[in-house]
Amino acid sequence: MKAIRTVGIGVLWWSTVLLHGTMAQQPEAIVTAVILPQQVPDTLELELFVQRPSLRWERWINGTLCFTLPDTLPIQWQRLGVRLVPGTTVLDTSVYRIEPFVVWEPIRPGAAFTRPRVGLTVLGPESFQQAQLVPWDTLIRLGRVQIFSLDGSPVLYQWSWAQPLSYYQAFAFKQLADELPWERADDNLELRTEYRLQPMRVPAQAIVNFRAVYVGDRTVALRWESRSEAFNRGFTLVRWWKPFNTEELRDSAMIADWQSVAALRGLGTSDTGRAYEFLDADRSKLRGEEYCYDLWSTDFLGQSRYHGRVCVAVPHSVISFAQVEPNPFSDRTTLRYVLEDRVLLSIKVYDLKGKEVQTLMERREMPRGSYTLEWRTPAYASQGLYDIVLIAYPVDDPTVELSRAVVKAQLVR
Amino acid sequence: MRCCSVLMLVMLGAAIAVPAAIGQLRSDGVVYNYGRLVIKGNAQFRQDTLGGTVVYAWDRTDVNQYIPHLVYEDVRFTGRTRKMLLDSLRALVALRRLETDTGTTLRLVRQSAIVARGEARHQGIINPEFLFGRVVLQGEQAQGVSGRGLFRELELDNPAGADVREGGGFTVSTLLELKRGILRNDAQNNFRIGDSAWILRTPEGGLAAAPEFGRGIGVRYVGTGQIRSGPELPEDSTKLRALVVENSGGLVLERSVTVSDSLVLAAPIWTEPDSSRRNVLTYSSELGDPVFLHPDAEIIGTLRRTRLRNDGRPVVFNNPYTYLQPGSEGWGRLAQVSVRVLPRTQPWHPQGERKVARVLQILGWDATGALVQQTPELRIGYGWRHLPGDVSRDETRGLPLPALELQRWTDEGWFTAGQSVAPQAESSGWAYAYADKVFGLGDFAIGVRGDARALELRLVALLEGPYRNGSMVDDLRQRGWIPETPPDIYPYNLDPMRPYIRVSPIPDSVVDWVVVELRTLLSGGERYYRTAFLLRDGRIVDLDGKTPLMLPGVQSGSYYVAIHHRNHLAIITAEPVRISPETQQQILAMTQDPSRILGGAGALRALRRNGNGNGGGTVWAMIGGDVNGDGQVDEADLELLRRWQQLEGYDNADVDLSGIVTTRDFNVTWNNRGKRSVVGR
Repeated sequence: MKAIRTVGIGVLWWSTVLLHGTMAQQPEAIVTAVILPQQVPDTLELELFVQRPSLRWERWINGTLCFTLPDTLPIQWQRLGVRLVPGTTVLDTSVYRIEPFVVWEPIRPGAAFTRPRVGLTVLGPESFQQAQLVPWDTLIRLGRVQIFSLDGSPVLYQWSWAQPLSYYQAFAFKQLADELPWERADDNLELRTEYRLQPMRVPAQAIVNFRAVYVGDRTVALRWESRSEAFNRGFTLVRWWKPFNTEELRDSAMIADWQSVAALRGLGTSDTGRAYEFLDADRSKLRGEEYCYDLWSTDFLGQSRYHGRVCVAVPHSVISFAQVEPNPFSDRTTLRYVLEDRVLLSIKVYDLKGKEVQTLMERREMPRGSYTLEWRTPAYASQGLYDIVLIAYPVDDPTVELSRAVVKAQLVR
Repeated sequence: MRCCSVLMLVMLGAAIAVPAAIGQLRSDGVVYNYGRLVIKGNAQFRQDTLGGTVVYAWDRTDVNQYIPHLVYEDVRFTGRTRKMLLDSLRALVALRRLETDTGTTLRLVRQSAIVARGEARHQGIINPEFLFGRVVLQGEQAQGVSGRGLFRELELDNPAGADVREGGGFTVSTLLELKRGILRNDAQNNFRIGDSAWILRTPEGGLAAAPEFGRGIGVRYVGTGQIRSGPELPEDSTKLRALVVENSGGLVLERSVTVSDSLVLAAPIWTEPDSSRRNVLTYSSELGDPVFLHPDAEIIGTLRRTRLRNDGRPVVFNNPYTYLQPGSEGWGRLAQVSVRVLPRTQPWHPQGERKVARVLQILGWDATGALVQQTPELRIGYGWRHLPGDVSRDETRGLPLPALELQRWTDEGWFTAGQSVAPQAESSGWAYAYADKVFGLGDFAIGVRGDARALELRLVALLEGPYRNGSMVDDLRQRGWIPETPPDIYPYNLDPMRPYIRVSPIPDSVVDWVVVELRTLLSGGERYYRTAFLLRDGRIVDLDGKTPLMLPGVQSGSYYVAIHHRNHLAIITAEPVRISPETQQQILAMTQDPSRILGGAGALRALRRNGNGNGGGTVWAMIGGDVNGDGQVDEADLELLRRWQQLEGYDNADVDLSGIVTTRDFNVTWNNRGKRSVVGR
């Protein structure tokens, strides 16, 4: 085993010597930070990866990884925290000591201070065997880091590696064997490291198909879809009353928002969207009037954005349509009718003399909708003209006593 | 009462709300005036205040009009009758407006004053036959002052200041007292300071622009605190007759000034407001000398004397102890001399830290203005602050007082200047002496006799921590974090001169402070410590950042040479090194051959010459990582490094001397785990 390792290192050393002339400035390690789409305002997540493009080393031992924000952004640094999400690192946490830090003032009174920053100090084990293997040219995951606010305030996303890199960052590997007189086995040697950053891609906030549908019982269904969302905490719906025969909007009221209705919470930042629906079941709406709805969204910084307005009428509880087909008919026909809202419905058939021939429905509660009903003529019914009478008693519409529809049907024997 | 047309009213309580012209007015009750009360005779009031507008308008030349000292809302003086303000118990106060007309004369007793709390428009004359007569501008909000009249003494005592308005034009003939607030004048609204007048200014008062100065102006500074000079000092060198500095914090001269007669100091005058401006205080009196009324009184900066008297007496310069005295040949070609004194400042030529902390530069010119280098025999008196135990003010810095002498800098180093007498120390905190037979001018210092030709040591060493790619970094210097005085920690506290070292700014390329030690024996024997700078290329140089390390007080001989640093393990030569005038050109490099170092390769760190890359050979550096300075690199150092991650500044945990503690510093220490210095303390 020892012999193999020696040969391996020999090859390594010669490879490096041969490549030295052309690869003098090539990085020996690449650390990549990927800022993930921000789901919630008070937490930002970064994925840290390391890649080994060099044959000089194979086990990573320790490092200091440090991020900061542009000076121009107003940040309450003392309200920030940093943590490594448990279970997200390939490092053996029993031997690697991972210490997040947030620095916004001198570490010690009287010490100097250059800039506020956050990051991780990772200190590894003493021996080569316990140090983390980084396969050649393979990306390994150092873990997911969360930068969060301690008081729920928004965390900005414009993080970058703290510069100058040689000052704030450090990254070292564990030496395998003695290379006297310079190094001993298990020495920690700094790497020429390239620090890459994949900033968060911020999609446009795309909200489409905002629409309102009356679904009965003085309830309006509001529906819309997002194709992508950016820092979206969620939506707010505002309802207006549009009095009959006017264009004026009155009595605006916020009827629901993301803080109180879970269904209105946004995806934060997402390349993909979802469908949203909210039922406005407020019974105070007036029959025969029109209502309009405004859709707003709120981002992580509390800024609101308007997405559109839709209007819908609240109908009276009446029968709005009735028809039979076929007509004339021989032994059966189909009655089609539309109820604008919930009613108690009776349907009866009368002959020309006004005699009730058949009761098809007797005060049955029927919700809003379009219906069909097949009428099979009794055997004793003779050829002639019949009246099919529909009488609807509104369940929840004091403005209408009843509504009636009469459909004439010709029976041909 | 000669004129029958004069009316006399006896008033027992009357309200006056319409314009009224009154000849004589005597009130035994209260007069309520809401309009304009014109008085063309004498008036007596029992009340203290009087509202409305009151006009004293008697216009006869053969009588005086006696003015009650009341608190007026609005008072005006007009007419040719001389207005007598003779109440020495209280001032006359004008709350809203004070006005005197052209041709009106006021007679104001010395003990009293006119206080204007609002607008003051003065066209008249106060006390034409005397030099006193005080008018005080004492409003609580900004007030205006205007007119073309003559003030004798004008005092501004208004924190909100006063504005010269309507073109100004008035004259202050005796004293302008700027007690509180700014008197805001400008080119369009200005006033005149009369010949021989004084301007008195406190730290709270001032002028916005230069007034029109008469001849022979005196300026006096009083109060508590420091004052930066302003437009009250005339730019024209002929106009400042006297300068008196009595305010406790002294005066910072913001421009060069010439004083022709009296220069009196009870506090310091600084002529160099900052490092970029070097003003000169010129004193053109031949007969007089500056008068120093307090031990702290001194001219810090440059004093030039343009007339050197020839009576053989000393000509005093920046303090009572700094003087030039000609010998029997007189001044020779010298016509003017300037002396620049910078107390508590280390002479900046090499080896300056072994001198009294006081810069003394003397320049001379002949009558044509050409610089004079060589002079006839002169006696130069010199003094400095000798306050043993007071590190912040003491300039002797532990140097042996009897051995101190005057030395002059030449291109070849410091040389004894003339023949110095033994210094005397005074209880006032000064030490002083003089040197006879000085034949030249230039940069002088007060140094230890015999130090003038010290041995040099050319020494090279590397620190492992800051070594990157072939040289060391000077990140700490670039960030301005290297202290100007080495901190009171190992190894700098080995050097007894440490508290007296102050280098500002830290020279280019300096990596850090180091201490060089000379030992006669490896253990025991005599030891000698010198604090020095380590440069990026490894040279260890003197405190000027350039020249080889001077070893004042070191005799020629063989010494073990050790180098100490605050977080690297000390090294020492394996054999004694010969240090003498003959060998001092040789370079002692402690980076090439480990066998020359006690402990050999084990006492040094082998570094690839070109950093982490391969090839390029090996250099040897001092081992880094001894954070706690105990002579060994161990777990205690690593623990400190774990604890102080992200610490910034000049700290021992910053092993790589980058300025910040990261895992990079931890790794230097880890890689040297178990190493121990062979240099015994």
